[in-house]
Amino acid sequence: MSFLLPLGLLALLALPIIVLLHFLRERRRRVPVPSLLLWENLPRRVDGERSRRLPITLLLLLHLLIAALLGVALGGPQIAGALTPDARHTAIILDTSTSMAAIDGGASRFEQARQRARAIVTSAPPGDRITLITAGPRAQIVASGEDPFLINAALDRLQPGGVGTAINEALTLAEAALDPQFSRRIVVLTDSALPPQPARDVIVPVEWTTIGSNVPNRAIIAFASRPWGGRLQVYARVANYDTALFNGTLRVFSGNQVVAEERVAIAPDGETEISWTLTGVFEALRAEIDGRDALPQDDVAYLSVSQGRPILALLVSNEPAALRRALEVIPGVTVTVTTPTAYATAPERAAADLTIFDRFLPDAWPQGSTLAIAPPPGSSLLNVALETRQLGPGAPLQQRGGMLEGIGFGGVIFGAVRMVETPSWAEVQLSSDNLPLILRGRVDNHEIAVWTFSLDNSNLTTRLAFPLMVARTVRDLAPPPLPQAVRAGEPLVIRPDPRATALQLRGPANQQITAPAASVVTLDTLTEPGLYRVEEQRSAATVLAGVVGVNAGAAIESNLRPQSAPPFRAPGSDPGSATGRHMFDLWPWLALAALLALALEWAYVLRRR
Amino acid sequence: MWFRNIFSPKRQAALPPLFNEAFLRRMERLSLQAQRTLRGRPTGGAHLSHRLLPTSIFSDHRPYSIGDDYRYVDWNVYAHQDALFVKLGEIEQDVNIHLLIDVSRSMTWGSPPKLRAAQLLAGTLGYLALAHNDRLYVAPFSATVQRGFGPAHGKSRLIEMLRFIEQVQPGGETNLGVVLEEYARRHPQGGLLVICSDLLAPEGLEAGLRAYAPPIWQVLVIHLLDPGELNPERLGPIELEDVETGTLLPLIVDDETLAHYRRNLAAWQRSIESACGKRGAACARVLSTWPLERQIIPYLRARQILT
Repeated sequence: MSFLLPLGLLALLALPIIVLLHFLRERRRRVPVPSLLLWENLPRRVDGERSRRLPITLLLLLHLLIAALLGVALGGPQIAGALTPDARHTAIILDTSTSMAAIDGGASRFEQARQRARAIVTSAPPGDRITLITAGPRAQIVASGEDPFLINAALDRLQPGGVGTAINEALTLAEAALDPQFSRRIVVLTDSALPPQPARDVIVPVEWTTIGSNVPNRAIIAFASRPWGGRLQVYARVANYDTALFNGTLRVFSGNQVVAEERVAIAPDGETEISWTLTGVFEALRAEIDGRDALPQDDVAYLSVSQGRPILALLVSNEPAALRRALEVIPGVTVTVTTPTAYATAPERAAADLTIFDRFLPDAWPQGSTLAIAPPPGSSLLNVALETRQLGPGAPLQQRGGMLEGIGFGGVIFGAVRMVETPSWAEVQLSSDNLPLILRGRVDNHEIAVWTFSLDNSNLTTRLAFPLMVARTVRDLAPPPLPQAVRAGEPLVIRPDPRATALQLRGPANQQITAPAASVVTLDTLTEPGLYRVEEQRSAATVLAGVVGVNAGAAIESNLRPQSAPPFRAPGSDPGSATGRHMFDLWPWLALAALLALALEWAYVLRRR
Repeated sequence: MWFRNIFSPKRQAALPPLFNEAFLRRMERLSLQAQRTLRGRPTGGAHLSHRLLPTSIFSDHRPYSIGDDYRYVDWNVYAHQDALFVKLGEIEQDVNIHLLIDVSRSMTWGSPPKLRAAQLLAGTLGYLALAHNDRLYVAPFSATVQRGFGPAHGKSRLIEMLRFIEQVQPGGETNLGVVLEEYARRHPQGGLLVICSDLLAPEGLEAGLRAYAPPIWQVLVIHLLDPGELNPERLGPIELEDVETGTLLPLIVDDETLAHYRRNLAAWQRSIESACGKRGAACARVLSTWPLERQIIPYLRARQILT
């Protein structure tokens, strides 16, 4: 017998309390007599015998029985029922990481694992339950039930892909999904190409099945680039997971054209790094090594090169010189200047990615991002007081948030500062004695920053902090460029243009993924290596088009040597799984027995009255 | 239904009415045995007196003295002896009947309560008194004498007397000595005093009876007891609670304790009999469970308290 809630057994402490109460009650049982006249001068033997003897009455026994039954019932007792070897619940954890795609013994490891899983499903007698869990970059339950066709159909749909095997998450999912009414077990089908796993406590037996053998593999485990003086520096790292020296050729393609080539010789279990400086304009690059190994997916790496997101900045100011200089030095930023009076009719108004208002505010926030400098009072967008507050040199500054991190404001005199009431949508990034200096926030899809000080009254423009502040603010307001590449299965996080309404991805096999645009879009289904074309769309028009590479090669995935299974502790702690018995709850019967005893006690008391 | 049986309040067993008319009529042929030494009024009543007064019923002579009623002159003696003699004879008188009913809380103990037996006895004796033209006084008492009934004379006061007895309320502690002394001061003319009590007072009976000396007073003590007092159960470890004072006494009531109790009980009864004997009072021990007509009345007749 086991207890689901052992803490409930504390209720058994009522037993000594009941005994004590009966003892006290017995001590204090009073019998009225007409007078004590005749009872005086009698031998008084009171304490000795009374303290030694507890009156064993039917009432006491009934009370103890009731309290014991309820106390044990509160502990949630369970008892093993009849042996039911046929009723089993098996959780199959199937490794779906990229390494499972390796060809090993004539077939891929994943196909072998799928066959084993299918054998388990097929051999399960009627009444058995199967739960299928995939362990890729994330663990996921893909099917569960007693219908083998359902499980096999789910198995057929699975494909390997993704860097990493979330084996611990999968085990936790399995333990939670297994029904304790069944005889439980977990079957792990994996190639064991995992980093060393720590010991783990499990409550059900785990059958760890390693599929595959020690096969050699070569992989491009890193591929990156950066612009360098009008040219492009390209970097690659190649690993040789073999006991023999590897000699091969690493080629870099742009489309189908080889743009770089290098002979590599990699020592056993070694790595080598190669870099090139390329001239020309490229959209994407592809690196290939003639690995001739079991896992061709990681012999290719992809890279997006032209990832810059151009920013069209519209500067609305009567004195734009300082701001213009600071904006123009930011890579990718194109500045257009207009005056506040001409802003309403400016042709760049709709296309501007970033609008900077200097001592001016329109009636509504523009479509793109906005930087408002020294907003004037009387605007419907911000609550600005008429008066200003002078902030002299040495004023204490309080900095919060990461936008201005690392920028020194020593020696900066902010001068006359507008007293702007902090809106509910904004957070203060920089302030001085509760006077906000820089605000940052979002209204709907509009990214907004507010500088409450005027550049005319400040010496900020003569300080080094000024161009840094401008560059940081612009980068924070504008959407970041797309990443060059991500690992297979790794979440791709995109902050699209605020004017975009939809996001569309087209994969290497021409598969298409569409998602509604939001402030942040996360895609975690990119498991197939290749180049993915990303388009941010607004009303069927493309706002931004770019490319993202998805690579299968990784140091934790490309080493195909099976590792030993992680040690599992105390699988026998669950008696249900050890014996293969159904567990029956006893508390309803105990509660019923307590109720009957209570009725008996009631009848007894009524009868005694 | 079962739940109605469970939740319905427990019913007290209804006691029969204290008095019924047929019983009282049967009692009418009895009378209280009053001593001749008691002083009553010769205007009525059925009790013989030791005093000899001029009367038509002859039993003795005395010489005529001025003022005697000529109707009682024995003219035959005058014819023979040429001297005037007056005929003397025994007279019948009424007496004062005093019924003292103990209504202290100890009288509520027992099944049936001892107070009920006291009420029944007092009602019966009071009926006899009224039926035989005696003057009746009824007084309940506990620590002091409470407002009483009487003097009453004649059967016309019967209903009033029975209602008074029925409505006495128990309460208070027994203070027998004080009560008896106070009552004697209030009634110096004496009479037949009947005390219905369990006498559960530590002291005071003998001192109280000192004020009721014969021949003015004739005292009858009816000692009421419950069978539970004579033979208490073997209760084990308990706390005895005095129903009058609330005093608690922890005790183990086992055979040894009960033996001591019975010894105390016997000594107590002896002390009561001794006190009554010293003061010329009759004492009758009556159990509260005895049926009145079948057991108490025959017992009192056997003790010549009733005739």
